[in-house]
Amino acid sequence: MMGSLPPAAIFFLGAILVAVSRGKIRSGLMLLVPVLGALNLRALDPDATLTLNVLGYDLIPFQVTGLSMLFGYLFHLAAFLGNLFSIHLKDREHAGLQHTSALLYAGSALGAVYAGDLISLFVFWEILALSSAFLIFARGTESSFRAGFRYLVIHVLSGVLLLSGALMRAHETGSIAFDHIGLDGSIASWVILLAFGIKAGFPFLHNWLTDAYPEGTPTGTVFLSAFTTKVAVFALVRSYAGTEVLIYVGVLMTFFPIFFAVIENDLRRVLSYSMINQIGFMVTGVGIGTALALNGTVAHAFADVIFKGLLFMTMGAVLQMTGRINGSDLGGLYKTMPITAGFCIVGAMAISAFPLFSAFITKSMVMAAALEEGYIWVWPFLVFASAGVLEHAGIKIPYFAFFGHDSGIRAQEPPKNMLFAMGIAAVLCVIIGSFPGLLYSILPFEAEYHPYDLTHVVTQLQLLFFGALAVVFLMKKGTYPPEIRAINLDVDWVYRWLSPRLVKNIGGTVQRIDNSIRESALTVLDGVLVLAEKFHGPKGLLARSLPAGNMVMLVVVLLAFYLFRFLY
Amino acid sequence: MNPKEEVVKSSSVHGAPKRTDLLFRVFYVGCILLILVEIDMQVTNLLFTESRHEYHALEKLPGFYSWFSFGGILLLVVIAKIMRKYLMRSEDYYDG
Repeated sequence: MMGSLPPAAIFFLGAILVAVSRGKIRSGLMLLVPVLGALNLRALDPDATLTLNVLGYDLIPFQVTGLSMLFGYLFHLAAFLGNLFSIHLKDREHAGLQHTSALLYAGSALGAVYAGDLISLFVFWEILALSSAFLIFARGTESSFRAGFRYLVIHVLSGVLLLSGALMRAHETGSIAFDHIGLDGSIASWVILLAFGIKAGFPFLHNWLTDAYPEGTPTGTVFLSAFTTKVAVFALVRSYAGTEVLIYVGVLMTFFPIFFAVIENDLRRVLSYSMINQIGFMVTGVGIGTALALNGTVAHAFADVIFKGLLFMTMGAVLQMTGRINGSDLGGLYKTMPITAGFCIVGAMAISAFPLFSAFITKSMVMAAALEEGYIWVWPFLVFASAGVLEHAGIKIPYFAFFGHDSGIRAQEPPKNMLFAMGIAAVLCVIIGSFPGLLYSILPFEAEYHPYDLTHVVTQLQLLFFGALAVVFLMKKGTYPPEIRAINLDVDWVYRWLSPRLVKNIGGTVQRIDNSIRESALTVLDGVLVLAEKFHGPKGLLARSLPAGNMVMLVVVLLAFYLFRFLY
Repeated sequence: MNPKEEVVKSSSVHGAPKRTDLLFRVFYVGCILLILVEIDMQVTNLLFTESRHEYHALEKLPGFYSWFSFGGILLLVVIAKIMRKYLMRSEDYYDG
């Protein structure tokens, strides 16, 4: 049976077992499921498929491709690290619920990357949305419940769009294959791109991410950061590689979040904006669409899951141990949490693309591909966005949490399992960056790239050192924006502030119109009643009993009228 | 309540301990070394005989990565501070 088992099945089965077990057995299962899954993955037959006929459609819920395998291994690794990081949870933190939904979530992400048709993809797409929402609800606060609900609505909408697009495409082309689609001018191709775009955090569709991820549980957000957006990146690579508009969408994604990240106070929200910025590099790579660019996209997705996961883990540890996550409340934690601080710095160096750290060997592939294909106007924006990453993720996150002004908080290091998970992620950031051949050997496309030449190392170090110098300069001058207990408006203002008020106002107007219609109707009715009273009342004209003579008179008048009409 | 009045923490690095001063000195030396390496690669070729690969016209400008990054971060922070004027609201903005 090993070797042909869909990876998702192992995780779904694991989720059921974890749901009904407790204590050490549950902890063991949580670590065992990703390990067994990875062994199954190693033995997986490269031509394995599973076909089902449902309602006349040939569904392929499981199909192995090179691209799926890379994401398959990545998701197993992410699930293992996330589970290790959250193994200590207590029942009061809804441990059972969190562990079960995390495994379901990882399983549905695996299902999505091994899906062979759009309907199967839709099914996993929806399980992905539902299971991940519980990692937000489990925080147990009013604001997390609301944010989780907004998250769920937006993701279900994305799923509905995907299903509609798939059915339209089936009607037009007769195919529901999850394969290259591209923008061919059909509405279906746009609708499916929109569905993927919501999950990938395209500009103006991105706000669910920065709204919901900071509301997740300290451990849950680590899972959230790994799966949803990477499934979307996978889907874009598979279906929209070489779609030029994605270059500009991607550049915009690298660009606008870095401004929000500078002024954001919630450090996990800073990381969420940072995430959109990183996905921007991947989407740009999808748009360029050459082998080098696509390799850059998937390699960067691989590196991002680990370094962004590491940064979310360190901030999760801070939140868990201090109960706080705003930059304005933190500072000086390195005194009592030096190991966590060290891991945070490793993650910060990895995301900033320091030589010997992971993003150095991945992000540069997308930028090199942009130059190779002659996108000369795109490239300076990517360089600017890279400098921006250093500012918010490389300096701001570690500085305001662990250094800066002493907040007086003396929190201890987090539990050992959390430290181990962070430690493994930190080591991986360095291994991937120092031995690029390891990751490059599993990339799905044929392209040659050598990250370590003198020019690349020197120019990247210049970018980082002088970017940091600018921050130091601003801080010494006292003009660097301080952390302030406040929020910043983003697109969610439209659905959290404007539309409720519009609905309320429209509702009010409708009520007023409704009232006035009712009132005039009542007035008319009153008038009718008065008239009826006048004519049919005891003294009314029509209520009088008229003598026969009057009747004859009336008939004569009518006949005279007809005679008159007849003659003239 | 106006959130701008709630500045909780200044972000200046004044009064940092001596260990940090040493770190800053190493950092400044690093900046100077990177400039020297570039000059050597471009002009003098004393240590670094390998010439720079340049693919983009901007890269040919002397010290491009250094000043572009420095200036870029200044611009980023200036624009972000202007954004605060228009976008910043109190924390209970959506609760009210």
